[in-house]
Amino acid sequence: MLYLLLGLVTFALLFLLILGVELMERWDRKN
Amino acid sequence: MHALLFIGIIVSGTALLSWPLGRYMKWAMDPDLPADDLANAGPAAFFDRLFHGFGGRATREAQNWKQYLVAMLVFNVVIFAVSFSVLAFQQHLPLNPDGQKPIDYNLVFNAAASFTTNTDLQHYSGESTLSYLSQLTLMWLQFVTPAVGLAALVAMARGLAGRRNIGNFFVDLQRATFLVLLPLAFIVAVLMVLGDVPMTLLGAVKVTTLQGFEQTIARGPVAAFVAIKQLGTNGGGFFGPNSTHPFENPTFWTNALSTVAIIALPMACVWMFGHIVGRMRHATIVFGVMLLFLVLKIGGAVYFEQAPTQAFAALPIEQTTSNLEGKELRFGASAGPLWAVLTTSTSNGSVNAMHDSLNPMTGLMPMIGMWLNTTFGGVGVGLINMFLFIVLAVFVAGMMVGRTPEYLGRRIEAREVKLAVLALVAHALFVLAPTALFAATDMGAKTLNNVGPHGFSEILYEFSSANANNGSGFEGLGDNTVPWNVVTGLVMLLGRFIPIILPLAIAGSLAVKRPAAQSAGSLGVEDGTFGLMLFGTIVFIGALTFFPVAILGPVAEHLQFMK
Repeated sequence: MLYLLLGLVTFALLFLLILGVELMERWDRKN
Repeated sequence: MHALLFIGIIVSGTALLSWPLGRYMKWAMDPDLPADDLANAGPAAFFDRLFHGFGGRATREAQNWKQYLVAMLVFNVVIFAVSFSVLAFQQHLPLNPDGQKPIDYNLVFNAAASFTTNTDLQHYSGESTLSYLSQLTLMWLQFVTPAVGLAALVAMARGLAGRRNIGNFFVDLQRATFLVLLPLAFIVAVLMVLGDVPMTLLGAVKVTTLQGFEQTIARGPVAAFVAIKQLGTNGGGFFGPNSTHPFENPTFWTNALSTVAIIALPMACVWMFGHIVGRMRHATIVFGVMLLFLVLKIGGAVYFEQAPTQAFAALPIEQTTSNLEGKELRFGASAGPLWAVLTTSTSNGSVNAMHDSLNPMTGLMPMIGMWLNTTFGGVGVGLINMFLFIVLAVFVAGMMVGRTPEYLGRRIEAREVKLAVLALVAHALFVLAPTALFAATDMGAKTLNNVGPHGFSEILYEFSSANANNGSGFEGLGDNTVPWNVVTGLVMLLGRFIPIILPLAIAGSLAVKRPAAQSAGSLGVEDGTFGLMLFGTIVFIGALTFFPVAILGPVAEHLQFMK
């Protein structure tokens, strides 16, 4: 089940990437 | 001469076929339905009405690019978890007439990641490892994963067309599955059955050979699997030897049909994109650039494969023909290089010849296809990758000639270029970094059957294939080990979704910008100059990024061995 968790953590990183792009957009708008 | 005629007919015939297919896909994927009056919206709305019925609110609301991507990732988490569970517990589940045993969890991870990402890289032989339920589960993924790619492309195209509402992921997914992939796969599967490809749920057959030995002959729902594996740029194989197996690709005609099926949808995606953004001249330029790359690679592969293999150089045999090692002679000597180029250009990992046996420079052509990953590319995602190069080409061309860098009437600024460069750097990083790691350590070196440049090419090819979500193997590797399974699994997941997330973010960013009026200062994207600029951008970025590893692998081997 460690390997299932590894896959889920990878997907979690991809969700964070979306969040990162969103934060970058807000930062650009602010500046 | 016959070989060149065959190649010409296949490529030009499929290019012609892609035009009406692209129109149909526009109708199916982006029918411009009135959301508040689906009841009177005609046949294109039938599945939407049906889907709204049991899909609930999640399928009715329009999404922005972030909501669309979150829905897409959530769906992929679910299919990853489902396929992981079926493969991990196949020994306890039904449809296992041959009593297939439990699979190591690291291989389950690799297979689930592989099929979730439309890669279909296989570190096992399907017929001796998987139950029918496992095979059918993976076949389900072969429908929905190209549908994910197609949905992402349609969403990106809507954004570039200036629509703030880029659609609903779940609606697009069901349109791609039920209106595009399923009907086409049904037609191709019937033609495959007529071409003698087996289609049965009965178990393997035990026969007694003429020598009196007992032999087990595997079979199964092969025709259905082959149809979608080719159309959906999936690849993989029902049988371990893939499309070299006589049940998976029995004749010259099934080979020709498969070849058409491999490139039909990626080509049609370009026309569908043109229809959605309303710029058919621009789509024609992009199609032309992709076709030019494809023809150059096919020409290179066929040319270099004319030389006999050096593996037989020391043997007392006359070699007056081209390289026939690793080829299925029932298809002819050129069918292997053609297939190798088409599949690696379109993210389709099926093989009909042993890529490890290709002459060194012929082997470079498939690698170039996977490094660029844009010369038609996978269903939907190929054009999304091309969009990254378009953004860079527009920006660089704008800087060079002093015109405003605009794409489809919207200004390309630092933010869009940063995201495009990030995606292209990630693409290179996920090929080069693990290749270096595995070439320098026992993780890769101990699994090689060849030393020197050829062994390096085997490692390089495996990571190129995983990252491009291609799935073919150079082979010659003992790749069913924990390090190979885990690292290629991670590369497949990141290599699939980062190049979808970032381009969709760019499209979302462009969608909310105010459209600029076309003027003499605007950079045109509908003429030959832009086509040349796009071609140059792809060559220079591809060459600068991957040229050094090409020298270490195939080019070094060519200089060392070919006489």
